[in-house]
Amino acid sequence: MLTTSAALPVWFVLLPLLGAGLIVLAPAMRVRVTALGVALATALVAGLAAVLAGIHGGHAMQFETNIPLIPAWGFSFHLGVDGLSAAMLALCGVIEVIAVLSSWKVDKRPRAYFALLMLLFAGTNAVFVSLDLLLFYVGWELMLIPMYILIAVWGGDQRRYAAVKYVLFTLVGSLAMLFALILLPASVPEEGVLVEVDPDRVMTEAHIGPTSLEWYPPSAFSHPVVGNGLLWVKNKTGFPSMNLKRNDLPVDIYGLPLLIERNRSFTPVQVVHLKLEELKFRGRKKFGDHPPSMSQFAGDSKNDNLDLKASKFFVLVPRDLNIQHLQLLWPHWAKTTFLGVSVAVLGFWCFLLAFAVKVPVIGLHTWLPHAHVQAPTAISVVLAALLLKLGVYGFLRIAWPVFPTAALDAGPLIAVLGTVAILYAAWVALMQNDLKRLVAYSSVSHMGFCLLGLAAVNVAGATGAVVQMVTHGLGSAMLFLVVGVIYERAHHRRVDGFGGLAKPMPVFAGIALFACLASAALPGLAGFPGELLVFLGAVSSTAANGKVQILGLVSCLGVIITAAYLLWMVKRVFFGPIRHPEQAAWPDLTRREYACLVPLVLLTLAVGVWPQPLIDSITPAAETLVRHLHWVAATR
Amino acid sequence: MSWLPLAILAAPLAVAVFLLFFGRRLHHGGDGFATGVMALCFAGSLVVAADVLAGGAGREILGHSVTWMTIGGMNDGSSGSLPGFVLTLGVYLDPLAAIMLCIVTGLALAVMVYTRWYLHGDNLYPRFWWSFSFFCFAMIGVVISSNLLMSFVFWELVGLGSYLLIGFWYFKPAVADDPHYQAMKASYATGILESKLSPADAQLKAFVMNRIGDAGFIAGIALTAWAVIAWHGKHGTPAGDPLAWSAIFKAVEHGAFNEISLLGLSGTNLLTLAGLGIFCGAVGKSAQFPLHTWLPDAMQGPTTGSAIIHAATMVAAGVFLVARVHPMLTPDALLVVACIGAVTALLAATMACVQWDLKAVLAYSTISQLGFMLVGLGSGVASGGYNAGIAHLFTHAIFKCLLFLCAAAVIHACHGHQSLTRVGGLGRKMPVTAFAMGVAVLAILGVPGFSAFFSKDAILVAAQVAGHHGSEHYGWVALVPAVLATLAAALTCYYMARLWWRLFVAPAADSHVVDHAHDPWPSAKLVLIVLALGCLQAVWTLQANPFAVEGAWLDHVIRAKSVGLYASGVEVDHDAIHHAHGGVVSLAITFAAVGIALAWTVFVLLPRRGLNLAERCRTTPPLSWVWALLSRLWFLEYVYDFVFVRILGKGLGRTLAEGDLGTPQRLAALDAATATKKTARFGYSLDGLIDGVAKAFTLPGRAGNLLHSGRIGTYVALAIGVVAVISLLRL
Repeated sequence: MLTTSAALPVWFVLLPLLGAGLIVLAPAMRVRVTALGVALATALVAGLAAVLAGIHGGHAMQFETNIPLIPAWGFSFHLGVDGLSAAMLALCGVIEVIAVLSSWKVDKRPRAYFALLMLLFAGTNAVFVSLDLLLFYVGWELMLIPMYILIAVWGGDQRRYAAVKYVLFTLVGSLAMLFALILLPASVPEEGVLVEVDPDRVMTEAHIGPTSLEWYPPSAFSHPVVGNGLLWVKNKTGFPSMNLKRNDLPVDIYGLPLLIERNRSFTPVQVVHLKLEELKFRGRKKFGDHPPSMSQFAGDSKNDNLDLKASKFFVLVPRDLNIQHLQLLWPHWAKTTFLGVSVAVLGFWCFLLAFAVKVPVIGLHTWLPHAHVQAPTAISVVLAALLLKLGVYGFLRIAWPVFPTAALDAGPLIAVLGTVAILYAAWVALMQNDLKRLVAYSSVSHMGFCLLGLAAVNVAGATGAVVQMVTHGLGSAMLFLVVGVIYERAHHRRVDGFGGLAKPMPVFAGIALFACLASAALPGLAGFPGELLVFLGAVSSTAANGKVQILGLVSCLGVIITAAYLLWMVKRVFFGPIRHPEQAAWPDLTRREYACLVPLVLLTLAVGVWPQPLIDSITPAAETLVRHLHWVAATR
Repeated sequence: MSWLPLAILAAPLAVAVFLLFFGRRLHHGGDGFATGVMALCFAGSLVVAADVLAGGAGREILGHSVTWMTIGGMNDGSSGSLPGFVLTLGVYLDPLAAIMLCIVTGLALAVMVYTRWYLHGDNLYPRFWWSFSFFCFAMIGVVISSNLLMSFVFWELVGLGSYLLIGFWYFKPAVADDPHYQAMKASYATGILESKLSPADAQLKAFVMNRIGDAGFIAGIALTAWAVIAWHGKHGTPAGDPLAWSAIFKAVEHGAFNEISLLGLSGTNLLTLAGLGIFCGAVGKSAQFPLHTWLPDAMQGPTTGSAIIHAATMVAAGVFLVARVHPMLTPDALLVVACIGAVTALLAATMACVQWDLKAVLAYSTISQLGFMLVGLGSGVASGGYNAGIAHLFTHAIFKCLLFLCAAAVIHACHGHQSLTRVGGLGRKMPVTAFAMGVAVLAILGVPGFSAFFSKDAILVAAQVAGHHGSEHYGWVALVPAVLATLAAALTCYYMARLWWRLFVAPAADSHVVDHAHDPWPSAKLVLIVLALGCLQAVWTLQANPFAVEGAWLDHVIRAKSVGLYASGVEVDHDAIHHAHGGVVSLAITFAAVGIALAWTVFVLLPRRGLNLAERCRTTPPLSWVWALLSRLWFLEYVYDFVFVRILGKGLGRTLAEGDLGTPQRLAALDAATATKKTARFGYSLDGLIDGVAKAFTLPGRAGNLLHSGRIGTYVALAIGVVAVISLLRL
């Protein structure tokens, strides 16, 4: 792997941060251009990282940077990109440029505005690439404050109310996350915990290297060890190693040395032949074949006594804040309690609360319509397209993999919440008279698909949830930009204050209809693949004894209401006779508006027509998550 | 030749995209270009069809399929494992699809040629060409689709094409506010909600009502995919594309649905559920009861567009889909299909009898005929209904397209008037139109020698046969389709004859409306004549004797196909069909004769004698009640508007919205809120509740505030109190 590309996530986080400083220093005339330049540079880095990560295969972390900052806490500057974050990175790149472009006309304190926007981006970007829980939390909080100020200063009439509401909601969640952040390391003993690792995870994610084996009798461990002791698969040439050769074995996973339970008939001297091509990982390109079974890993020598299939893998997980390490600790969370409550349950619900506010899950969503209505157009775009995604991203990155047992137990509830969100928020959107509020509720409704897909616990569902995140990012950004275009001309957003806009603004009407159809999941446009996969995933789900399946069938009704509220809005605003004579003379889109909307239109079309590249990037990460959950369900 | 179907698919899309961007700059919006490309597509379709049909029984063209999506799976051997699967886009052409392809491209060509005359001079003329080309692309996609998902994808896209063309004149107000419409509207159009009828409303209604069906469709797709994938998972085979026709039918044949269960259903019952889910899509698209009300409204679009979209092909896509998935429809599901079709056929026929709007008659007639097709398909393979339904799909496409084009000629000739009460006596002025429409009417009546005699009678026969077969198992319910369809056939003869007599023979009420009427351009006339030839029975049977319908070539290719691939072991029950055939044919001929004569008496003969029988029936009590019911469209529009739009849509939507964020008053108060008006923020809503909770947290703070009031007395009292408490505690 290229060493330079390892710096990509670092730049992805640092560029906006530096950009904020640059904007503060830039001459007043150059503030916007500087902001655009920084956004473009970030987008370039993001695009490069996303494409490279996608090419390398998204199952494992790429471009890892791990600099210990406070070793005593296990806190380190740890960034990395896998298929899941790659998709988000690409979305960030696009949306951030468009957010800057669509703020071009901000006249009130532009320097402060753009500097805060950059800080907001830095926080968002940090969340999407951080692999350290504390770093994740820092990014999470970092974006909160700029967002608050952006709404509270540059917002509409009732901006303070909306901004305070936004901050209070998010803070309640953040507080829960902070609690969990302290709880988790506190419940790990100082010497670490010895846990079993899913052999499948070892096969797909462990580093492999030329090895020697050392046997450790049970007495070598302070932990109770199964069997006759453990084999430490040691790297001959240093550790970890990326040099792949014959006769190699899995050496370490997430930087932790792997231990193999000693098989009775095993003699360490014997050489094991492994087919590395198969061991390396299940080629996603060769997906149609059956994944190689474990027996194939056992080698081709008949005298081979190390039967990996019969082996168990263990790692000694230290006390730190590495998110990947925390994932391995799931059996420990289930066994440990805090104040009589299992840490798994407590931690899961804390993180769930933090992320659910952001998604937003139904019941915790009422900050969203206020924030959207009050925020300026560009901030609405960022809020809907990126910030809401952080919630689901948190589910996928932390809540589900770190607390799989609690997540599986909560699955039916999550599915119910998702289905309710799909139908209820759509129904509420039907009768909204404020265009932004309507789009805000459509966001709540669309994010419900992510929850449902996640609760399905299969690859189609999880992939669909992530695809839905990306496509909703594109679709909601377009819808908010469309509202912004109208608002700039009318200075109000009341649906009943418009009529027949298609006559003076035909191109704009076409793009608005396009955005609505994309949002209503018309096949061929971006909204469709995500929803389709979620439906397929939910209906074929084996989770929760078919409850998710029924919810999947019920949620199909969402397509009706979604089409109804969006196209009814289109009808009232754009079609019919012109109802307000002054609107007959409105100019069609300006060049800057074209520049904002056309890239999104093209991307929406591209993802809708050819979603495979996106799915290719996501599937391995989704597979990893789902395999983890299945293994947990089977072994818990 | 596997590239040819793809080229036929891609060409209209390319035209649509090109004309979308450059159409306005081209001469006449690029109409010649679009028409020329469509002519090439038609020629290509003929080649493809010849290739498919020449291959004899059951030949299919399977074009290259493209992998559209690859979804990973879990094949870890655990019970919950699902193999990964792919979703593809591909070409599947059997005789059914090949003939349909020819009909779609051929009719599209005819409509394009015709539209150059019909819409010339319209301001939006260029828009028609790209939206219509887009529709053609989508429709061809539905026809050649190789799997269920691709069908759904193009299914939605034809919906978009229909949406765009219904809203062609998007700027028109609701007809209640349209003086033009009010001046020309048909009398007694009492069932229409005039405040909710405009191109913009109609396109919304069409899209949303189609989506109601599509919700069931996609649920059916998901159920089917699950069954097939799970079946592959259990047997350890790679799932491939679980939605490809062959994969579905193979899995169904091997009992894929017997191994899964949901909601306590499994096996045949679950298969029925999945089949009916998919059928929901057809109910929406083919405007079947109870989702039929969008189609009459869709007549707001240009008539020539309606000719192919809302009459000949797009609405028939539902029937086409049912024919496609026929092997996975269980007997239970087929009975539901037949019953829905029969109810629709009769319901729409009754409404058509009292319509005075020319296009409304045709719209209800379309709904009714689509019902007939579903009766045919629902009667199953053994009764010959499967073939009959498909045959009627083809014959109907031609004659209904012709009827609409003739209607377009009449409307154009009468300056937009389409009320049967005003228009009349056009036979002399528009001889070609009158002739062509006459042929089409004879065809839909099922007069021997014309196309529906071959197809519609076969449907009635099949319904009878299937009814007798099914009555052992289902009792009287199995006979419902046959009875209702026969009644509907009788009504069809009356209302279609009425339409023709009224338009071309009976005198016009307003003579100035028809003063300048004339036949269309020669090219358009040619289209009418060519389509009229397609209404002849001989085209479909290749036999001179109209009564020798056995062994018709169409029947032959479809039958060979249906036995070859689909229901294995199902034999067509020739004896029963023969047995029923004679009776049905004589009945049908009687219907036609009586219908023509009755309509002539009522609308031509008696008015000449000064007796307006129709008007008298309308006002005389027992019949006037029937009239009121029918002309108000069985009150369905009112009921739907009340239940779905007012109560479920607006009412519940408003309640939920107010319960969520608050009443408009609360929101207004929030907008205007200043420090003085804070109390207005709370209310009985989720958001108000949360605000209230937040406010409750300020109470301890306020209590604390009192302690820091700055008044010396407070502090002294506090100090004394604290000292007192401490000293008490120390005691």
